[in-house]
Amino acid sequence: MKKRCKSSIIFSILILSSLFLSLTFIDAACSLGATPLGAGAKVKPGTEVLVVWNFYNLYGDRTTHISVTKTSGPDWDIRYEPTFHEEQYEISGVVTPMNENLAVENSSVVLEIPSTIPEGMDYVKHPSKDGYIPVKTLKIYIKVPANAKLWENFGFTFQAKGDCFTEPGAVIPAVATEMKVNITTTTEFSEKKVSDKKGIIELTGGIIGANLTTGLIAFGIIALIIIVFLILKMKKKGKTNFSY
Amino acid sequence: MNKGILFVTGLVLSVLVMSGFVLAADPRQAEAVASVTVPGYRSLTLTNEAISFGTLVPGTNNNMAVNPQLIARIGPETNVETDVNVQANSTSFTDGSGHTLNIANNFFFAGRLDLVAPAPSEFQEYAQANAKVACTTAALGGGACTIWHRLNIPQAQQASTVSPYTISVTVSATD
Repeated sequence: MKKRCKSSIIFSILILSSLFLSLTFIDAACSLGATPLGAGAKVKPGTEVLVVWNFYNLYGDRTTHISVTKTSGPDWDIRYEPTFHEEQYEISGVVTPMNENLAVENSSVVLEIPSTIPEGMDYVKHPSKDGYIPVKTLKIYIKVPANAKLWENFGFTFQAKGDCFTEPGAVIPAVATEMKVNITTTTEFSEKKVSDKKGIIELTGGIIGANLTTGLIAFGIIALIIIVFLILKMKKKGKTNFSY
Repeated sequence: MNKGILFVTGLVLSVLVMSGFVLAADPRQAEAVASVTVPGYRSLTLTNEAISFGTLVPGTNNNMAVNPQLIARIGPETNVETDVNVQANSTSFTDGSGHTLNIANNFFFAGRLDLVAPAPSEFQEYAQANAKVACTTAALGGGACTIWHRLNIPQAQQASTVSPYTISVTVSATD
């Protein structure tokens, strides 16, 4: 009886310990979704390119705080809207700072886009089912230098990192994804013939050839010469015949 | 006779002109290129976060994280090929008092598609560069990957005083 009592006490302690252990770990879901994942533009040097990057949080159970940085690409002037800044959040009663470009609250797919959309927000079509995904938008402005070489491809990679709070002062592993932007420098359309082919008669691709005017004139002249020659010959024969 | 000759001349010239239009004609087909861009969608969700090792004694190796494993889920709306990578954001744990615990040879991760604890050989060392997690999920329709963590505490590691040793890691979903 005593032994049984001791075992059950030990067993109870073990169960209570495991409960205590499990309660100290906060089960959190930090989520970051993004679209598009790539963008391209053909622009003249000196132009400012605007890329809109949309973020969503469909599967998290708390706000995801997003910061965006360029991880590769030339050192051109780049600015973000919203800019990278510090916000203050009250986490379980404790005010805690967070550096971010924007924050995306957890949300769900909606069947219809609302008539009024707050600034900084938008809705994008869900790619695999009916409905629209609420997104927060980040604008990336990329200034192409005026002296950028023409017809060159310039590639950028931007990383978006999402941080979530669990308890005051604790930040859990960040989630991240990236977008690739390709910019090709170009100029106004123009077309100019480089080689002048005057004096060269083109007779290609057939009896008269691809060049209608030249071929036609050439053959016309030759035909005319032959005909005149024949006429003159026939006239001579006629005169001779009547010479008796 | 002269009328006949003129007639023949005119006929020949007419034939030549018409032939020119026919033979030299270069019917070009107008071409137009149709194109469309389909935007990519990708999401990554981490659950069971806050990788915790509890209290560990110096000189102990292969200590597994005590909380449920980190789960990385690629959302079902994802329509691009996706790799899951992990990266340490610094070279060492710090405790807020200037003490450090270097990650080299001490901090490891392993990815699995199930909940079976990985074998020691499956673990890879954390680094500051992106390291691909072996359980890369399929692109379309999403998927989940469990990330396990292991930590060695070197001999004579200084005790953490102000706060526990911590390090920031990033789990990223990329091409």
